[in-house]
Amino acid sequence: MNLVIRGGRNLDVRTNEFEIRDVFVIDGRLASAEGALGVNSFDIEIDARGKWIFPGLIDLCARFGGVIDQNLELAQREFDAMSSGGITDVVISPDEKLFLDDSSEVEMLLHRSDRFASTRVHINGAMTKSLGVDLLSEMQELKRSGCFGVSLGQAPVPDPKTLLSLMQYAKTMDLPIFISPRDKSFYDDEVMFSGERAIRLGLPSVPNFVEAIAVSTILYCAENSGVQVHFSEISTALAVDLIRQAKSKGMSVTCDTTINHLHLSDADMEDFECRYKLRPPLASPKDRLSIREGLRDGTIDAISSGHSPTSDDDKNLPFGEAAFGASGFELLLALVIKWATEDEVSIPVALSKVTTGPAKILSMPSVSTSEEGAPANLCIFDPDHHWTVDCSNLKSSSKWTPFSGETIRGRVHQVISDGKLIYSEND
Amino acid sequence: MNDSQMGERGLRHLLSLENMPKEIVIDILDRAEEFLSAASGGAKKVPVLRGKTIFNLFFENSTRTRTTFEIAAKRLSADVVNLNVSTSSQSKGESLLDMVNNLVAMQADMFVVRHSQSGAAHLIAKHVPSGVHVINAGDGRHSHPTQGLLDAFSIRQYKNSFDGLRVAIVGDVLHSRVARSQIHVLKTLGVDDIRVCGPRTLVPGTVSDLGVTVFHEIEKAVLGVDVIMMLRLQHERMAGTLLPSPQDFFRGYGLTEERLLLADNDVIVMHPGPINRGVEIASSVADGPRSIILPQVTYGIAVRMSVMAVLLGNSL
Repeated sequence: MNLVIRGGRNLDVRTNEFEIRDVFVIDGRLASAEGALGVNSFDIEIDARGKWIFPGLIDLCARFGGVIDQNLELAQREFDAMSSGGITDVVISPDEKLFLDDSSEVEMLLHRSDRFASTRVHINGAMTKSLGVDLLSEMQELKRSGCFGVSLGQAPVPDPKTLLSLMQYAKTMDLPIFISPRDKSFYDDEVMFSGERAIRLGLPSVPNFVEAIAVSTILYCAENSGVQVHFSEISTALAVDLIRQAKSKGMSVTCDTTINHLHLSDADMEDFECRYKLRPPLASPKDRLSIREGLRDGTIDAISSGHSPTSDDDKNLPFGEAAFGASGFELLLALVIKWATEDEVSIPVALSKVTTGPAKILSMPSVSTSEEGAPANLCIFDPDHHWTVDCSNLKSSSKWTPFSGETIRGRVHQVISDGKLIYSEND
Repeated sequence: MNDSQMGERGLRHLLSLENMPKEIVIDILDRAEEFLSAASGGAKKVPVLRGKTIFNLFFENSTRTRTTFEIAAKRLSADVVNLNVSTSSQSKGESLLDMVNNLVAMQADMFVVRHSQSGAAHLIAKHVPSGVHVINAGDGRHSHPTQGLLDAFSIRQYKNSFDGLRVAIVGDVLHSRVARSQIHVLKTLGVDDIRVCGPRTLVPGTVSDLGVTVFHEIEKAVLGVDVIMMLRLQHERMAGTLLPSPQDFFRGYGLTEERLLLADNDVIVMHPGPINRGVEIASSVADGPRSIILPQVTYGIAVRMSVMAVLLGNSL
């Protein structure tokens, strides 16, 4: 299929400059104007005047919860949510409803994503059976069935001896580890961070150092085992500091934060509103500033959606009993742009946190809008469209997000993955 | 105060005392006083809520609190249904909101809710239709507003005014919904000198965020105070990593006659009950002349009558 995008402002990721230029896609790959000379007619012509064109988004931290194996319609909605959010690649990690600890689950998920033929799925298999602490998963088999890496999802990090063993085995199988640093001893109380808010609401809470304890344990074990580690969902200043130090020592660790922790703190929570119930919980305004500083100085490599779908039944409960998690696929891009505007970060630099930054972590080949022969994974974005987040209009099956009611800037118009148009706003 | 408890005509639900307008607090206390004097004049039962149906929804066992709400409702001539939920539909897997919706369909006018989770009463209040009222009878560690109001009422009975009062709250503040409600209502009523006291495991420094002064030595906390409010220590916290033993707690923080001497001569001693003798308080103090623990129980009924009358009065 041949496709042309005319008149858009095209981001060159090598120079971080936008330029108005037509983009040609021939047989799924980017082509130069000269390369497209021989094409008489295009299957699809997109008028992108006034729009931005940049590489498709790569979301390093999302999970499907129970929705993916319930029924195809729910699964389809999550894939629709991804593609309409401009996401062309997503990393799915295990969770307590979808363990991804054996090859049949991994193959099922890959089969489903092939069937929907939209966003590419990169799977982290479970490091342990049922995300427990006493039995390694069959990592060789997981790798053979298509897993990119392994993860504990949001399960607590085991004791150092067990963790080291898990890492040594993963390293042997040459699998990177994606890990959300949740401390085991504080795990059950990690509903909020300690402070005025938690004490006032009488909710279980943990001190602000618990994430850093887990990060510290992971760093020691990673250094010893030599395994490649990516930290997911970093939310606190102390954890950012530890990762910054590790990087400055030359350790090849990477990390992401989520749109929730980039924009919100516990000061933004409405009392007992379960759409703010997240794992990790929202930290203090000071932590949020440190997250932003970490993004600016390169300590934090990527921004993820942290997408965790939850059903109404699991959220319509008292705060302490309600499920953790929020919908994020459809908000990721607009919230990255919002951060860029608020902190006066240039748009190309901000976009690198959802494009070239995560691409490096996934060892993906060229991510580009202009490199001839590169795979055509593109997002066409209208920066002037302002919209209000209305949960009932989200494509995801999960309607819970702390951003509901907020007006944000920018909307995805079209998304092209491997040269195919997988989303068009007018559809 | 959470706006979710206010309706067009005033207080619609009683969920928390945080930032509750002073005039509403005073109105509840004044009406409690009327019920109290009517009862002592022989008119225990009044027809204020005739024809209304009140459901006591207790997800946590508490015979005492449930009984005082039941008596209060019956004295107002309401029909009362007691549901001990921990042994009924929750074990059949019915969700909290499904259950509430069913009871609403039975034309409930008011729910009195006790639940082990902070925010449970807020959740129910958010989902009931207008015309249905919710009283929080204790949610997790968060709030126990009728206890806070009855404590304020009790203080007013003995001290007349809240101006310049010095109040010490002693015990497990961290896990106490009673302490939070006491602190909120006392601040509303103008008490500036509120001291909380206990070991750091039960009274961490962050408690000062509630606008109180934190003490870890009871001798300093009770010095010169007009009111001492002891908190109940839950059995599961008496021995573990928060406290070594009930004896050790009593050694450090139990209210003894010697410690009572450090307070003002006219100090009153309060406790939400049921008391653990020899753990929070010496028997001689609990039964002594400064104790108003039993009058608190009597006032509790009048205050709960008043709250029910105010809420249902706001929907008439």
